[in-house]
Amino acid sequence: MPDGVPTWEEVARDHGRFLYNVAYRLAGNDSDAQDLVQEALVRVRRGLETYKPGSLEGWLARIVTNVFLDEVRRKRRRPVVALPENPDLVVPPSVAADEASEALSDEVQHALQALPDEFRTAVVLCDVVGLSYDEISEAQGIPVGTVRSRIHRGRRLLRSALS
Amino acid sequence: MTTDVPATPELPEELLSAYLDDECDADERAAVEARLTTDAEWRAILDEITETRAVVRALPQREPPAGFFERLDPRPWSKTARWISGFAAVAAVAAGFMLAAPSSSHDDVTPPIAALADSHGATQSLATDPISALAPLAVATPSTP
Repeated sequence: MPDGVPTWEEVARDHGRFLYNVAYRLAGNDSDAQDLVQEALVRVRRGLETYKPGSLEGWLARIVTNVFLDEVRRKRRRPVVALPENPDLVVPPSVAADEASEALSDEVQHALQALPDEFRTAVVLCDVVGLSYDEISEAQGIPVGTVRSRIHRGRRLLRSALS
Repeated sequence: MTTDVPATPELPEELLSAYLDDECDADERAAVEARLTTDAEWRAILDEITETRAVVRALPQREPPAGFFERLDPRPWSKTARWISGFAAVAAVAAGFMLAAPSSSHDDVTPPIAALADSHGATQSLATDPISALAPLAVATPSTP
């Protein structure tokens, strides 16, 4: 590998948790997050051949976001019948000491999940990953003005859901 | 006579998020700050999105299950291969069950020919000729003149 370009193993070892966290915030559950990370790392392996050293986590966030959006598009083409919602089955009861904090996290995650995919992606890339509007624009292939709009509307919807 | 007053360009509300994230240019920033001084609704919205952003930023790092990365395989075909190997495993188990399960013996379902023959023979030996056992028909005998 050229200087500054990590190996696949180094990416998985050193940035896997970052990838997983972004995947979880986008997908909203462990199972889908695992699939997203698996597919993202396959793309990372291919992409490392042409990767130019820079913001590695920004690059990884773009990859996992694209995997997520590809999956969203695939599901839209082949919609599945959703099972009846039963929050008791989806969210295991919290037994952690910081139960209140965990409950709040779950509430925020549920609110994130309720956002339209495009808004959620923009909010996660901005507020979880910390990408700039330009980086989000580039990652998603949309104008910066659209990024602004999606982030703002996403936050407003989140606020409504949480209040 | 009327004078034309230049209209103040309408500021889109989404500028508030850009302002909060320091993603405005100087003109936009000045315009937002001017609006905030006079518009209580904008100030309230700014407070709300500031709080919302803080809540999302405070989300804890989500951890993958133990051993997740050790199990990862970077090969593109690994997912398909897992499906194939999973299917093969299920098929093998199913085949094993079919072989191990007590198979239904043909003797159990084939009529016991020998026993039936014996039974039939015994019946035959006890009974009279079935034709002869029929009730005799009343047959008119020709009368002699």
